[in-house]
Amino acid sequence: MTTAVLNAASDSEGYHAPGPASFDLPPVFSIGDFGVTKPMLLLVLSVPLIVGFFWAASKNKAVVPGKLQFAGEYVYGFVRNGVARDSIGSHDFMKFVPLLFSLFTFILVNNYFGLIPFLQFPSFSRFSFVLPLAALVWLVFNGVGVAKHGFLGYLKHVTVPGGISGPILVLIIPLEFLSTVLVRPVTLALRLFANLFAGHLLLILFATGAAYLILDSGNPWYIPVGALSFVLGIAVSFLELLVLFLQAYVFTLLTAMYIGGALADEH
Amino acid sequence: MNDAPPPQDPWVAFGRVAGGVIFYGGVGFLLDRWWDTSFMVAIGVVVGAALGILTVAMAQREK
Repeated sequence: MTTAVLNAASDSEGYHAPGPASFDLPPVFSIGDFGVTKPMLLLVLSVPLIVGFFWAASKNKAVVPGKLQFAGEYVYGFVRNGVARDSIGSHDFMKFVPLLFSLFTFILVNNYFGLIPFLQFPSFSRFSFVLPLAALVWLVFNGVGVAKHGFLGYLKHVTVPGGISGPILVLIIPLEFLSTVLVRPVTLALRLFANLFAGHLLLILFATGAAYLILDSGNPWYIPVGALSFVLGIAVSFLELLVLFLQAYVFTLLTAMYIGGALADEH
Repeated sequence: MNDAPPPQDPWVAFGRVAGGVIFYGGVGFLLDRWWDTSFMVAIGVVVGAALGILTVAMAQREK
């Protein structure tokens, strides 16, 4: 975002609205021909942050938890009970808590990078970072389904919906197959990517718009409009506080639901 | 312990309609190329959406 502000501020020709190009950041440094960009570094940074936080939170285990331990246990309990157990059922859920917990914290921290000053980039507004997560989820929920029902059994499980019988089933089977195998991972990935992309784009728009209108437009009548743009930017930041959490939660919740659905007994 | 049945994915309805549109729209598109027509893709999309909605309704009634 800082670069976008500088671009808008240094360009006296007029205001250039931010677009998809605002997300193509120049490499911070290069290893040979391979440019390492800010989102890559943020992704790597998120892992020691998460591990460090939960290591510190669980280091001095006490029966009466301190603040840090309470925070760590609260997040863990939220994913374990609120997401995994409620969606997968109390019989099988413990096996999937590590995956769901890692997904949730990883996405959450990377999302909030979008609002932290100087970092200010949500890693998952780059589609190429979301895609492997969705592919992983796709492999897991189909894998556990095949392991539980057998390959043909799982195929029947996902293609034959409850409540339908007779010749119309022939028409329904390809539709159900596509809806589970193709639409699910695509919507999962697109939802996370598009929400973060759009939210960050709004923030760039209001911030660079305010900077241009107040500092560079040369027309004093634009200053109040620029101030309004600045205030709206702050308001959208508060909205983003909610959205960033919600998207991490929804991604984890749907993953748990897909696993729960693949493990469910026959309709 | 919480032994309530796991909640259903709320997006399953969207997935069914989208799956129907993609599959039968695709079939219609291929038929159009085969028969040199231009209306089968539209029929396919509508039929796919209808089948998707039907599936959602039938699965809902089952519960």
